[in-house]
Amino acid sequence: MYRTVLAVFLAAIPLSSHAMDADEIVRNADLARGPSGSYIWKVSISHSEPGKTVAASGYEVYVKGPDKVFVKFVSPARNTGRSLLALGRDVWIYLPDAGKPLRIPLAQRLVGQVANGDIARTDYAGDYSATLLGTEKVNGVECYILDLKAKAKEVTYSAIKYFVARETFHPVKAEFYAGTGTLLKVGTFGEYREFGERIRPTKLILEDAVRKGVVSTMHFGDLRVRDLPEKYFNKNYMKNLD
Amino acid sequence: MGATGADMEWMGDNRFRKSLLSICIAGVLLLVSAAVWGEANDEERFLSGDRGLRLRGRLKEEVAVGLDTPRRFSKVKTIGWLDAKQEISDSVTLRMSGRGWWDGVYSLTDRYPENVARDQETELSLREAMLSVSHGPLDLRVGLQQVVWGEAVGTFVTDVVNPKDFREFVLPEFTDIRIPLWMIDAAYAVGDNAVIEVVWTPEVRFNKLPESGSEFEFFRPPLPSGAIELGSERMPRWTLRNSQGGVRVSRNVSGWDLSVQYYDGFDGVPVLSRRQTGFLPDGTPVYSLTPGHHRLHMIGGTLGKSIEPVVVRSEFLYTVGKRYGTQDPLDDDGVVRRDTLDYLLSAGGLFFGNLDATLQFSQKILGGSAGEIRQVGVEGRVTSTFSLRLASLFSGEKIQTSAMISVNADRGDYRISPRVEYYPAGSLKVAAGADLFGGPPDTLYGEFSRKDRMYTEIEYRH
Repeated sequence: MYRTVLAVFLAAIPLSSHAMDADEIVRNADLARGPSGSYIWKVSISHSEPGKTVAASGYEVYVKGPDKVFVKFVSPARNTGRSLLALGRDVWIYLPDAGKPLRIPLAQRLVGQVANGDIARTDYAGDYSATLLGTEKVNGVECYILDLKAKAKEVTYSAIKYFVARETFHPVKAEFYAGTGTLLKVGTFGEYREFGERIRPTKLILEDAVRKGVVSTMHFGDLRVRDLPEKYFNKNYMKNLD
Repeated sequence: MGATGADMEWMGDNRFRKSLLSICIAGVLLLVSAAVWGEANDEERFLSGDRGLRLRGRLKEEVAVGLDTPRRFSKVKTIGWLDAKQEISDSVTLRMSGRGWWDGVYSLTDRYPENVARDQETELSLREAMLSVSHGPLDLRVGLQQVVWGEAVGTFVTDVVNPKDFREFVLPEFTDIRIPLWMIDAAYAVGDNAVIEVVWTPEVRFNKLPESGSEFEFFRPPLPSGAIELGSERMPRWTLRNSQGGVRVSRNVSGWDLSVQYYDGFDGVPVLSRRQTGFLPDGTPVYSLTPGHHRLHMIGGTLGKSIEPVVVRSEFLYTVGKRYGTQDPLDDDGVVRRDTLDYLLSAGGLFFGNLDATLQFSQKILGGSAGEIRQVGVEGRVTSTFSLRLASLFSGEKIQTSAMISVNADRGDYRISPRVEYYPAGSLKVAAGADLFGGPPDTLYGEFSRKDRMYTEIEYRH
């Protein structure tokens, strides 16, 4: 009996320290994607399918801490007046035609391959438990391979296979999975440049894993760090920001 | 398919002058809208909290053709919206918006009587004139506005503050159906996730119902046998006693959006009260019928929760003092009180990657026998309705197809509204669709079973 308990205890030590490392890597990668604190950035999304013209849309994303995001739809004209609010894992959309905020799922598509959660909830460290699987070279960069499992049902993806650069903690690639284990899409981070006093990816390409050539590209630009009023992150205030 | 020759020939002088005036109004809206275009392009100024005048406009042409024979135009409507927002300071904002339309169908055909043309041919109205002031947790909105309560889509169960314009049934967008009121709306945030909202209005307005002879005229229950004197609608005056108001408390608890509400106001729907005033010489009874609006106490609640990938929503409203017209000849005034519970359950989400589907079930339960009550939407003590909404995007999200199906479980009356939208450019939307109704003529949807229509729309936003 003693031996069994000891064996389990000893086996658990490397596992738990490994898990801690993995979470640390994900936290560092989160910080590379966006600063902590309060800021605004502009995001444009272009979506293309084989044989189809490219559709583009623009957003202004207001972030306050890891749990509060307000997204203003800027273009095209048919979308202006709409907005999205994410408080933790709760998301609402304000539609001028409805005149009220409506509850929507994080995983619901915003545009193209981009889910609401891709723009409104990027706190992987908060939403997923990470396990370090090993290392691998991706596009010539030595990367940690992390297995991210959703901590709760109310997140955008059930699982993510995350590739983070070993040296810089820059996210390089992510594979997004549904609860069934089906690969939904593959994301590639790119165009790193100095942005908010740090080198960050300014482009995320999301490719549909099933329909070849169906691609959405998120461009991140014009990041401004500034304090934002608390009222922006209240669903009853969404109409005021229309 | 089009207007008949006789239709086209008919055009009274008066109506022609009105039409010209309406064209001028539409023209002015168009010109103002065009002037706004340059302004609207300058979005940068409005982003990131920069203060400035924000102007938006919309211009829409709607053409509908009735599918009943002979097929004729039922709508040739040009509508314009203008919406301005001026941020005076970080905490003070002024908003104004207006809407104007001209419906050419009243000039093109003689299908509708004069009273309908007078009522629906043109309109120029202020839709919003509101000063918004926020100070700490308090957010105060004063002026002409809409206050929208509720969680669910496409329903008015707890959306009780503003009266409604039902002249085109429930087919327009809901923001166009609500009639704005002059009111005060104060919301106070308590902590991170609770809000107490108080609304009060001195204005007394009721639902706007279609005129007799209009396309979407409601079914009218048979009048009592005898001579009828129809009295004019009793309109309460703007007094403190007649003012209306309510309170709503909303809170997010562990991801559940919960709210409770109370509203004290007039019933927007008129009920005909009957009074026998005497007899004709031949012994026929004479009745006086007077439409009246009764005071209601409405207690409601909502909940909403995302259980990925599905969102569940529910609303309920218990109306104390609700009156209905009764056909019971022995009833004193032809009006009975039935406190009423309305509730709705809804579940929706995105399925198969591209199908947005929402299923709703709603019931109206009267607190007593439905007896001789004959009113559309009331099919017995319990009236049940199922609704299904489907939407899907195609072709690089330039095409959206959708359908709305509502079926009354009691008598089988239904509405089916398929629709296709095409976005050739960011500012332009072209749509085509149909509204199909069926069922017995004294039911909510069946009353329009001969008013099936196909329509096209072209809309320009900037």
